[in-house]
Amino acid sequence: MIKFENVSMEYSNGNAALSDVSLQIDDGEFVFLVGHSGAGKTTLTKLLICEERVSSGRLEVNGFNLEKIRSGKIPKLRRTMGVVFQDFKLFDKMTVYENVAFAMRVVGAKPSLIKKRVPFFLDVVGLGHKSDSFPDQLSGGEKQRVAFARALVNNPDTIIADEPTGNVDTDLTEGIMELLVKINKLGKTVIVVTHDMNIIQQYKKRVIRIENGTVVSDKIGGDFLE
Amino acid sequence: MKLSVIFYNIGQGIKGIFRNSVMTTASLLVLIACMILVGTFYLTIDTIDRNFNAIDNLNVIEIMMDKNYGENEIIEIGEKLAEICDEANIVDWDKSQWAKDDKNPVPKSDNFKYISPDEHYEIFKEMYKGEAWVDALGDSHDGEHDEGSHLGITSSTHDNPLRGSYRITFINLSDFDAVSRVKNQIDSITLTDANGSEYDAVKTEDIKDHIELYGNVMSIKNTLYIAGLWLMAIFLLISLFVIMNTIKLGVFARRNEIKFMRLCGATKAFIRMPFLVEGIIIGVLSAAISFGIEFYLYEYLLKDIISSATGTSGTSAIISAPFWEEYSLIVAVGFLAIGLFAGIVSSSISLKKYLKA
Repeated sequence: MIKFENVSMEYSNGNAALSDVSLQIDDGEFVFLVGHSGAGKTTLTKLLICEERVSSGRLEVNGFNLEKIRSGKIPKLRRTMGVVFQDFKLFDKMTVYENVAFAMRVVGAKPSLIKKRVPFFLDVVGLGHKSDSFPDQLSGGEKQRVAFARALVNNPDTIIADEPTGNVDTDLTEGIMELLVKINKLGKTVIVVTHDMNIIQQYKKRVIRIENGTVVSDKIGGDFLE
Repeated sequence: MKLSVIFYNIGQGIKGIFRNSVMTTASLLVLIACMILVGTFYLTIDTIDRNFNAIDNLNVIEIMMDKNYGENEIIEIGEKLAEICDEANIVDWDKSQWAKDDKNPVPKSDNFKYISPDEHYEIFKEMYKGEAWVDALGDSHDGEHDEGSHLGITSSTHDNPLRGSYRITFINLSDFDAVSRVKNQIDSITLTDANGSEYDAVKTEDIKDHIELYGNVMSIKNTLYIAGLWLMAIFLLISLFVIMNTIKLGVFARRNEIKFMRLCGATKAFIRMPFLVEGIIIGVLSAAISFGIEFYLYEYLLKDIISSATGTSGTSAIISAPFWEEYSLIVAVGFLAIGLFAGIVSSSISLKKYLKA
């Protein structure tokens, strides 16, 4: 569960990025996070993975109290989340298999477990046959799916996808969204940061809209556009 | 940490060494220069020390007794010297070590003792033993006996030209003020003659010592020591700087990996380990190479340089310890310590920026 209680966040230069945000995302929910550039979406996701710290208020993420969390506990918090980056952040010198395995290796997973889980999740995203390919041999959609496999492989509770359809063709958008719904059906909480109004309207899910660092609407479906 | 994780990170560290081969070579060279410098200074100072310590009686002051003094004067001077030695904290002697009686009219401790003319004569003979002219001298008791010698303080024969002396051994001579004070006190010893008037009992020229020589050598040694320390500090800083930049290049090349690792939930220790391994490998490799170079430098160059500098070239007068028996362990441990310190510190500093949560 993710719970913001009157959370404000101010950068060291004095710029207020979030002010008095209160919201709750329950386990297994599917949420779209929308808003204009600079509205505070990125800051909100950075707070979730503890890349930034709250200035005031209370923030609880997957059982961790983030305003008091010690730096030694941050890796444990981050292991409860899988992040899919807009630019994929795949490593060019690693194969698809190695890219996914790397995410497990850095959290100290046993080699035997890596051998078992990486092919499984590559199959989940439909790339089992591409495990020996390098990222530059993949299409944009395939790269995105590798990024999803990598985010899923450590079995996190929450998946945060930052503009997952931003770098892919319209044809591939549906496939990626289907994948996210599939992941959500596996019981994972899914948070999708997006500008894409079409997919918001198409998938009648909860939409949290942020403007100028505050939550301006929190509704199911595309109603917020009205 | 699991064994598989440790092996994985060691592998990554080794890869890092080759990824940055030019900077790695630069780091190795600077660190080797630092270690050889430290090692050479240490070996030079230690060799000087060994030779210095081998010179007998360097920290000894000898007060020669006037040839005309009888037993009473010598005993009386001994009593006054005992007072001085008892008070001086640079002489390891106190009055409890000398119970004065007829059998022990003069002190005979290691650090404060009287050496009679007869004993000097025997020492002299022993020193030049084997030479024909000495063998012809005969025993000290062979000559015409001095009727007045009962306690073995003055010469037992008229033939012995040597004088008796008191010998005081200082704990160390580094406290020059204390040494000078004692010397002045000895120089000022007076006795009272039959008429009741005081006279100077110990002439300045009768006080023999090597304190100035000791001071000069100490000053050279201290200069070398301080210069060595400064050079070591400077080279160590340069080494740290170069290794830091070597590792920073590796960190920069892998900055995206590091960021991803952090966001995936990798611990700081896990992220730090490959770079730490890289630093340690540079340190250990430098130590091993420096050790080899230092051995050859000492055996084939340093000993000759010290010999020619001290004017003992081509002779066996210079005392040098065998490298393997005396120095190998301390040099190896010292180099390893410098290498590990430089490697660990520089890799830790290089990563600091990228490890902020």
